[in-house]
Amino acid sequence: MKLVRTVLGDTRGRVVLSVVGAYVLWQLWLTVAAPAKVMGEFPANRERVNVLVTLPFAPERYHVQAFQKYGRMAGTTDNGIELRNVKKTDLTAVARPYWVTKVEPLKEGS
Amino acid sequence: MNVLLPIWSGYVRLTTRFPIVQTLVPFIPVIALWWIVSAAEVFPKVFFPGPVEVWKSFVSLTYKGILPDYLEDSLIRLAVGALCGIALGIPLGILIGVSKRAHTALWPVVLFFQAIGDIAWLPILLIWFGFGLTTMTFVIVYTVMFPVIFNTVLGVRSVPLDLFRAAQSLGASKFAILKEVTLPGALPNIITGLRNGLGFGWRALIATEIIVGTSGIGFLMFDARRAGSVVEIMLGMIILGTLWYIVDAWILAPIERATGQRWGTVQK
Repeated sequence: MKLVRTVLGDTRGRVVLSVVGAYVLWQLWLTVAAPAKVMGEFPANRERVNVLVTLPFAPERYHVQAFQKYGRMAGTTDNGIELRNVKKTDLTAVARPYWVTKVEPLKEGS
Repeated sequence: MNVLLPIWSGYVRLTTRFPIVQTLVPFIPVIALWWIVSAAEVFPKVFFPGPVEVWKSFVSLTYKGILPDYLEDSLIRLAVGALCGIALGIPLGILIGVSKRAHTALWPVVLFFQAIGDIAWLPILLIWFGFGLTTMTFVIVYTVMFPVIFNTVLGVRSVPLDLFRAAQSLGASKFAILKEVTLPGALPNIITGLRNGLGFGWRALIATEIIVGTSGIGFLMFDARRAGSVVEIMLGMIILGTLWYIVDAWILAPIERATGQRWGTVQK
Protein backbone atom coordinates (compact mmCIF):
# COMPACT_ATOMS: atom_id res chain seq x y z
CA MET A 1 0.00 0.00 0.00
CA LYS A 2 2.88 2.34 0.85
CA LEU A 3 4.39 1.69 -2.56
CA VAL A 4 1.08 2.56 -4.26
CA ARG A 5 0.81 5.75 -2.18
CA THR A 6 4.40 6.68 -3.08
CA VAL A 7 3.80 6.13 -6.80
CA LEU A 8 0.51 8.02 -6.75
CA GLY A 9 2.06 10.87 -4.79
CA ASP A 10 4.73 11.47 -7.43
CA THR A 11 4.01 13.29 -10.70
CA ARG A 12 6.22 10.95 -12.72
CA GLY A 13 4.57 7.96 -11.09
CA ARG A 14 1.13 9.31 -12.06
CA VAL A 15 2.30 9.97 -15.63
CA VAL A 16 3.74 6.44 -15.95
CA LEU A 17 0.54 4.92 -14.51
CA SER A 18 -1.58 7.07 -16.86
CA VAL A 19 0.43 5.88 -19.87
CA VAL A 20 0.04 2.24 -18.77
CA GLY A 21 -3.69 2.82 -18.19
CA ALA A 22 -4.11 4.51 -21.59
CA TYR A 23 -2.31 1.58 -23.26
CA VAL A 24 -4.61 -0.95 -21.58
CA LEU A 25 -7.70 1.07 -22.54
CA TRP A 26 -6.44 1.39 -26.12
CA GLN A 27 -5.94 -2.39 -26.34
CA LEU A 28 -9.44 -2.92 -24.93
CA TRP A 29 -10.87 -0.51 -27.48
CA LEU A 30 -9.14 -2.35 -30.34
CA THR A 31 -10.62 -5.63 -29.12
CA VAL A 32 -14.10 -4.15 -28.80
CA ALA A 33 -13.98 -2.32 -32.15
CA ALA A 34 -12.61 -5.24 -34.19
CA PRO A 35 -15.88 -7.19 -34.81
CA ALA A 36 -17.51 -4.06 -36.29
CA LYS A 37 -14.78 -3.94 -38.96
CA VAL A 38 -15.69 -7.42 -40.26
CA MET A 39 -18.26 -6.65 -42.95
CA GLY A 40 -20.22 -8.53 -45.60
CA GLU A 41 -21.63 -12.03 -45.71
CA PHE A 42 -19.13 -14.83 -45.31
CA PRO A 43 -20.20 -18.33 -46.43
CA ALA A 44 -21.79 -20.05 -43.45
CA ASN A 45 -20.82 -23.57 -44.46
CA ARG A 46 -17.06 -22.97 -44.71
CA GLU A 47 -14.56 -22.97 -41.91
CA ARG A 48 -11.96 -21.05 -43.91
CA VAL A 49 -12.67 -18.06 -46.11
CA ASN A 50 -10.90 -15.68 -48.50
CA VAL A 51 -10.82 -12.07 -47.36
CA LEU A 52 -9.92 -8.62 -48.57
CA VAL A 53 -8.35 -6.50 -45.83
CA THR A 54 -8.69 -2.78 -46.54
CA LEU A 55 -6.24 -0.26 -45.10
CA PRO A 56 -6.35 3.54 -45.24
CA PHE A 57 -3.05 3.55 -47.18
CA ALA A 58 -1.13 1.38 -49.63
CA PRO A 59 0.12 -1.75 -47.86
CA GLU A 60 3.83 -2.15 -47.26
CA ARG A 61 5.91 -5.24 -46.61
CA TYR A 62 5.25 -4.98 -42.86
CA HIS A 63 1.47 -5.19 -43.38
CA VAL A 64 1.75 -8.10 -45.77
CA GLN A 65 3.95 -9.99 -43.32
CA ALA A 66 1.65 -9.17 -40.40
CA PHE A 67 -1.20 -11.11 -42.02
CA GLN A 68 0.81 -14.10 -43.13
CA LYS A 69 0.16 -15.87 -39.84
CA TYR A 70 -3.57 -15.86 -40.54
CA GLY A 71 -3.65 -17.05 -44.15
CA ARG A 72 -2.02 -17.30 -47.53
CA MET A 73 -1.17 -14.02 -49.20
CA ALA A 74 -2.80 -13.79 -52.61
CA GLY A 75 -1.77 -10.26 -53.53
CA THR A 76 -2.32 -6.60 -52.87
CA THR A 77 -4.55 -3.92 -54.38
CA ASP A 78 -4.26 -0.14 -54.07
CA ASN A 79 -5.27 -0.10 -50.41
CA GLY A 80 -6.01 -3.74 -49.81
CA ILE A 81 -4.45 -7.09 -49.03
CA GLU A 82 -5.97 -10.29 -50.37
CA LEU A 83 -5.75 -13.18 -47.97
CA ARG A 84 -6.84 -16.74 -48.67
CA ASN A 85 -7.65 -19.63 -46.37
CA VAL A 86 -8.30 -17.55 -43.27
CA LYS A 87 -10.07 -19.27 -40.37
CA LYS A 88 -13.41 -17.60 -39.69
CA THR A 89 -12.50 -17.51 -36.00
CA ASP A 90 -9.46 -15.39 -36.88
CA LEU A 91 -11.43 -12.66 -38.67
CA THR A 92 -11.65 -10.41 -35.63
CA ALA A 93 -7.92 -10.87 -35.03
CA VAL A 94 -7.28 -9.80 -38.63
CA ALA A 95 -9.49 -6.74 -38.08
CA ARG A 96 -7.93 -5.84 -34.71
CA PRO A 97 -5.03 -3.54 -35.74
CA TYR A 98 -6.06 0.12 -35.76
CA TRP A 99 -4.73 0.51 -39.28
CA VAL A 100 -7.27 -1.97 -40.65
CA THR A 101 -10.37 -0.24 -41.99
CA LYS A 102 -12.45 -3.27 -42.89
CA VAL A 103 -12.33 -6.99 -43.56
CA GLU A 104 -14.73 -8.35 -46.16
CA PRO A 105 -15.17 -11.44 -48.32
CA LEU A 106 -12.84 -11.52 -51.29
CA LYS A 107 -14.76 -11.40 -54.54
CA GLU A 108 -13.64 -14.39 -56.60
CA GLY A 109 -12.05 -13.44 -59.88
CA SER A 110 -11.06 -10.05 -58.54
CA MET B 1 22.43 41.64 -15.22
CA ASN B 2 19.10 43.13 -14.11
CA VAL B 3 17.46 41.82 -17.28
CA LEU B 4 18.82 38.31 -16.85
CA LEU B 5 17.76 37.99 -13.22
CA PRO B 6 13.97 37.95 -13.80
CA ILE B 7 14.45 35.53 -16.73
CA TRP B 8 16.49 33.21 -14.53
CA SER B 9 14.05 33.41 -11.64
CA GLY B 10 11.19 32.73 -14.06
CA TYR B 11 13.05 29.69 -15.36
CA VAL B 12 13.69 28.42 -11.83
CA ARG B 13 10.00 28.85 -10.94
CA LEU B 14 8.98 27.08 -14.14
CA THR B 15 11.30 24.13 -13.59
CA THR B 16 10.20 23.82 -9.99
CA ARG B 17 6.60 23.60 -11.10
CA PHE B 18 7.26 21.50 -14.23
CA PRO B 19 10.49 19.47 -13.76
CA ILE B 20 10.13 18.15 -17.32
CA VAL B 21 11.19 21.59 -18.60
CA GLN B 22 14.57 21.06 -16.95
CA THR B 23 14.91 17.80 -18.87
CA LEU B 24 13.90 19.28 -22.21
CA VAL B 25 15.89 22.54 -22.11
CA PRO B 26 19.35 20.95 -22.71
CA PHE B 27 17.99 19.44 -25.92
CA ILE B 28 16.94 22.80 -27.38
CA PRO B 29 20.46 23.83 -28.54
CA VAL B 30 21.08 20.29 -29.86
CA ILE B 31 17.88 20.33 -31.93
CA ALA B 32 18.51 23.93 -33.03
CA LEU B 33 22.01 23.05 -34.23
CA TRP B 34 20.66 19.97 -36.00
CA TRP B 35 17.98 22.10 -37.65
CA ILE B 36 20.44 24.79 -38.75
CA VAL B 37 22.97 22.31 -40.19
CA SER B 38 20.19 20.43 -41.97
CA ALA B 39 18.51 23.60 -43.32
CA ALA B 40 21.86 24.97 -44.52
CA GLU B 41 22.28 21.70 -46.42
CA VAL B 42 25.88 21.35 -45.31
CA PHE B 43 25.26 17.70 -46.12
CA PRO B 44 22.72 16.51 -48.71
CA LYS B 45 19.21 16.21 -47.21
CA VAL B 46 19.07 12.54 -48.06
CA PHE B 47 22.09 11.87 -45.82
CA PHE B 48 21.29 14.37 -43.09
CA PRO B 49 17.55 15.02 -42.78
CA GLY B 50 16.26 17.63 -40.36
CA PRO B 51 13.97 17.36 -37.35
CA VAL B 52 10.88 18.06 -39.50
CA GLU B 53 11.56 15.10 -41.79
CA VAL B 54 12.17 12.85 -38.79
CA TRP B 55 8.93 14.04 -37.18
CA LYS B 56 7.03 13.35 -40.41
CA SER B 57 8.54 9.87 -40.52
CA PHE B 58 7.46 9.33 -36.91
CA VAL B 59 3.88 10.34 -37.73
CA SER B 60 3.80 8.24 -40.90
CA LEU B 61 5.22 5.09 -39.28
CA THR B 62 2.84 5.47 -36.34
CA TYR B 63 -0.14 6.00 -38.65
CA LYS B 64 0.79 2.83 -40.53
CA GLY B 65 1.12 0.86 -37.31
CA ILE B 66 4.75 -0.07 -37.94
CA LEU B 67 6.41 1.93 -35.19
CA PRO B 68 4.04 1.00 -32.31
CA ASP B 69 4.25 -2.67 -33.24
CA TYR B 70 8.04 -2.70 -33.43
CA LEU B 71 8.30 -0.72 -30.21
CA GLU B 72 5.99 -3.18 -28.46
CA ASP B 73 8.06 -6.11 -29.75
CA SER B 74 11.29 -4.56 -28.46
CA LEU B 75 9.83 -3.76 -25.05
CA ILE B 76 8.29 -7.22 -24.63
CA ARG B 77 11.61 -8.86 -25.55
CA LEU B 78 13.45 -6.66 -23.07
CA ALA B 79 10.88 -7.37 -20.33
CA VAL B 80 10.92 -11.15 -20.85
CA GLY B 81 14.72 -11.28 -21.11
CA ALA B 82 15.23 -8.98 -18.13
CA LEU B 83 12.82 -10.95 -15.93
CA CYS B 84 14.58 -14.22 -16.75
CA GLY B 85 17.99 -12.60 -16.22
CA ILE B 86 16.92 -11.21 -12.86
CA ALA B 87 15.36 -14.53 -11.81
CA LEU B 88 18.65 -16.30 -12.53
CA GLY B 89 21.08 -13.56 -11.49
CA ILE B 90 19.80 -12.68 -8.01
CA PRO B 91 19.71 -16.23 -6.56
CA LEU B 92 23.07 -17.03 -8.13
CA GLY B 93 24.57 -13.81 -6.79
CA ILE B 94 23.22 -14.50 -3.30
CA LEU B 95 24.54 -18.06 -3.41
CA ILE B 96 28.00 -16.91 -4.47
CA GLY B 97 27.91 -14.09 -1.95
CA VAL B 98 26.92 -16.12 1.11
CA SER B 99 28.69 -19.41 0.45
CA LYS B 100 32.47 -19.69 0.22
CA ARG B 101 32.14 -23.12 -1.43
CA ALA B 102 29.78 -21.77 -4.06
CA HIS B 103 32.15 -18.85 -4.60
CA THR B 104 35.10 -21.18 -5.09
CA ALA B 105 33.15 -23.41 -7.46
CA LEU B 106 31.24 -20.84 -9.47
CA TRP B 107 33.24 -17.62 -9.52
CA PRO B 108 35.81 -18.72 -12.16
CA VAL B 109 32.97 -20.05 -14.34
CA VAL B 110 31.02 -16.81 -13.99
CA LEU B 111 34.09 -14.75 -14.88
CA PHE B 112 34.80 -17.01 -17.85
CA PHE B 113 31.31 -16.67 -19.29
CA GLN B 114 31.15 -12.96 -18.52
CA ALA B 115 34.22 -12.51 -20.71
CA ILE B 116 32.38 -14.02 -23.66
CA GLY B 117 30.39 -11.05 -24.89
CA ASP B 118 26.69 -11.44 -25.56
CA ILE B 119 27.07 -10.83 -29.27
CA ALA B 120 29.80 -13.49 -29.43
CA TRP B 121 27.08 -16.04 -28.66
CA LEU B 122 25.07 -15.13 -31.73
CA PRO B 123 26.76 -17.42 -34.28
CA ILE B 124 26.16 -20.53 -32.20
CA LEU B 125 22.70 -19.38 -31.08
CA LEU B 126 21.67 -18.89 -34.69
CA ILE B 127 22.65 -22.47 -35.45
CA TRP B 128 20.87 -23.78 -32.36
CA PHE B 129 17.71 -21.70 -32.31
CA GLY B 130 17.60 -19.86 -35.63
CA PHE B 131 16.35 -16.32 -36.21
CA GLY B 132 13.77 -16.01 -33.50
CA LEU B 133 12.68 -14.96 -30.06
CA THR B 134 14.70 -17.68 -28.29
CA THR B 135 17.97 -16.33 -29.66
CA MET B 136 17.10 -12.77 -28.71
CA THR B 137 15.86 -13.76 -25.25
CA PHE B 138 19.04 -15.75 -24.61
CA VAL B 139 21.22 -12.76 -25.48
CA ILE B 140 19.23 -10.39 -23.27
CA VAL B 141 19.16 -12.84 -20.35
CA TYR B 142 22.90 -13.32 -20.73
CA THR B 143 23.54 -9.59 -20.80
CA VAL B 144 21.28 -8.72 -17.87
CA MET B 145 22.46 -11.59 -15.69
CA PHE B 146 26.11 -10.66 -15.11
CA PRO B 147 25.70 -7.11 -13.78
CA VAL B 148 22.95 -8.47 -11.52
CA ILE B 149 25.19 -11.30 -10.26
CA PHE B 150 28.20 -9.05 -9.63
CA ASN B 151 26.20 -6.36 -7.87
CA THR B 152 24.30 -8.91 -5.79
CA VAL B 153 27.57 -10.52 -4.68
CA LEU B 154 28.93 -7.07 -3.86
CA GLY B 155 25.75 -6.25 -1.96
CA VAL B 156 25.84 -9.45 0.07
CA ARG B 157 29.52 -8.98 0.86
CA SER B 158 29.04 -5.39 1.91
CA VAL B 159 26.52 -6.18 4.65
CA PRO B 160 28.45 -5.56 7.91
CA LEU B 161 29.50 -8.76 9.66
CA ASP B 162 28.20 -7.38 12.97
CA LEU B 163 24.66 -7.63 11.65
CA PHE B 164 25.04 -11.34 10.91
CA ARG B 165 26.55 -11.90 14.34
CA ALA B 166 23.79 -9.92 16.02
CA ALA B 167 21.13 -11.95 14.20
CA GLN B 168 22.90 -15.22 15.07
CA SER B 169 23.21 -14.25 18.72
CA LEU B 170 19.47 -13.60 18.76
CA GLY B 171 18.92 -17.17 17.56
CA ALA B 172 17.89 -16.38 13.99
CA SER B 173 17.81 -19.33 11.59
CA LYS B 174 19.82 -19.28 8.35
CA PHE B 175 16.66 -18.52 6.40
CA ALA B 176 15.73 -15.70 8.79
CA ILE B 177 19.21 -14.20 8.43
CA LEU B 178 18.90 -14.38 4.65
CA LYS B 179 15.46 -12.79 4.72
CA GLU B 180 16.02 -10.17 7.42
CA VAL B 181 19.71 -9.27 7.06
CA THR B 182 21.30 -10.43 3.81
CA LEU B 183 18.58 -9.48 1.34
CA PRO B 184 17.68 -6.05 2.78
CA GLY B 185 21.38 -5.23 3.16
CA ALA B 186 22.16 -6.24 -0.40
CA LEU B 187 19.05 -4.70 -1.94
CA PRO B 188 20.53 -1.27 -2.84
CA ASN B 189 23.32 -3.02 -4.75
CA ILE B 190 20.89 -5.49 -6.32
CA ILE B 191 18.78 -2.61 -7.63
CA THR B 192 21.90 -0.89 -8.98
CA GLY B 193 22.71 -4.17 -10.72
CA LEU B 194 19.22 -4.31 -12.21
CA ARG B 195 19.57 -0.77 -13.50
CA ASN B 196 22.95 -1.50 -15.09
CA GLY B 197 21.78 -4.87 -16.37
CA LEU B 198 18.70 -3.40 -18.02
CA GLY B 199 20.84 -0.70 -19.64
CA PHE B 200 23.18 -3.30 -21.07
CA GLY B 201 20.20 -5.49 -21.99
CA TRP B 202 18.59 -2.64 -23.92
CA ARG B 203 21.74 -2.15 -25.99
CA ALA B 204 22.14 -5.89 -26.53
CA LEU B 205 18.53 -6.11 -27.64
CA ILE B 206 19.00 -3.48 -30.32
CA ALA B 207 22.23 -5.13 -31.51
CA THR B 208 20.49 -8.51 -31.64
CA GLU B 209 17.50 -7.11 -33.48
CA ILE B 210 19.85 -5.59 -36.02
CA ILE B 211 21.51 -8.94 -36.63
CA VAL B 212 18.75 -11.53 -36.17
CA GLY B 213 15.50 -9.59 -35.82
CA THR B 214 12.47 -9.61 -38.03
CA SER B 215 10.84 -6.80 -36.04
CA GLY B 216 11.74 -4.29 -33.34
CA ILE B 217 13.41 -0.89 -33.27
CA GLY B 218 16.83 -2.34 -34.11
CA PHE B 219 15.32 -4.12 -37.09
CA LEU B 220 13.54 -0.92 -38.17
CA MET B 221 16.86 0.91 -38.23
CA PHE B 222 18.75 -1.79 -40.06
CA ASP B 223 15.93 -2.34 -42.52
CA ALA B 224 15.94 1.40 -43.22
CA ARG B 225 19.64 1.13 -44.02
CA ARG B 226 18.76 -1.33 -46.78
CA ALA B 227 16.33 1.19 -48.23
CA GLY B 228 18.82 4.02 -47.70
CA SER B 229 16.35 5.83 -45.45
CA VAL B 230 18.52 7.88 -43.09
CA VAL B 231 15.41 9.56 -41.70
CA GLU B 232 14.13 6.24 -40.26
CA ILE B 233 17.55 5.40 -38.85
CA MET B 234 17.63 8.77 -37.08
CA LEU B 235 14.10 8.24 -35.83
CA GLY B 236 15.13 4.85 -34.42
CA MET B 237 18.09 6.42 -32.65
CA ILE B 238 15.95 9.16 -31.13
CA ILE B 239 13.38 6.62 -29.96
CA LEU B 240 16.10 4.51 -28.35
CA GLY B 241 17.49 7.47 -26.45
CA THR B 242 14.12 8.86 -25.43
CA LEU B 243 12.72 5.54 -24.31
CA TRP B 244 15.77 4.62 -22.30
CA TYR B 245 15.80 8.06 -20.68
CA ILE B 246 12.17 7.65 -19.65
CA VAL B 247 12.67 4.10 -18.35
CA ASP B 248 15.84 4.99 -16.48
CA ALA B 249 15.00 8.44 -15.12
CA TRP B 250 11.31 7.85 -14.47
CA ILE B 251 11.22 4.24 -13.31
CA LEU B 252 14.62 2.71 -12.47
CA ALA B 253 16.33 5.68 -10.82
CA PRO B 254 13.40 6.44 -8.46
CA ILE B 255 13.23 2.74 -7.50
CA GLU B 256 16.97 2.75 -6.84
CA ARG B 257 16.67 5.95 -4.80
CA ALA B 258 13.71 4.64 -2.83
CA THR B 259 15.49 1.36 -2.14
CA GLY B 260 18.60 3.18 -0.97
CA GLN B 261 16.53 5.37 1.34
CA ARG B 262 14.55 2.44 2.72
CA TRP B 263 17.18 -0.30 2.98
CA GLY B 264 20.47 1.54 2.72
CA THR B 265 20.07 2.54 6.37
CA VAL B 266 20.70 -1.07 7.36
CA GLN B 267 24.40 -0.36 7.15
CA LYS B 268 24.28 2.51 9.63
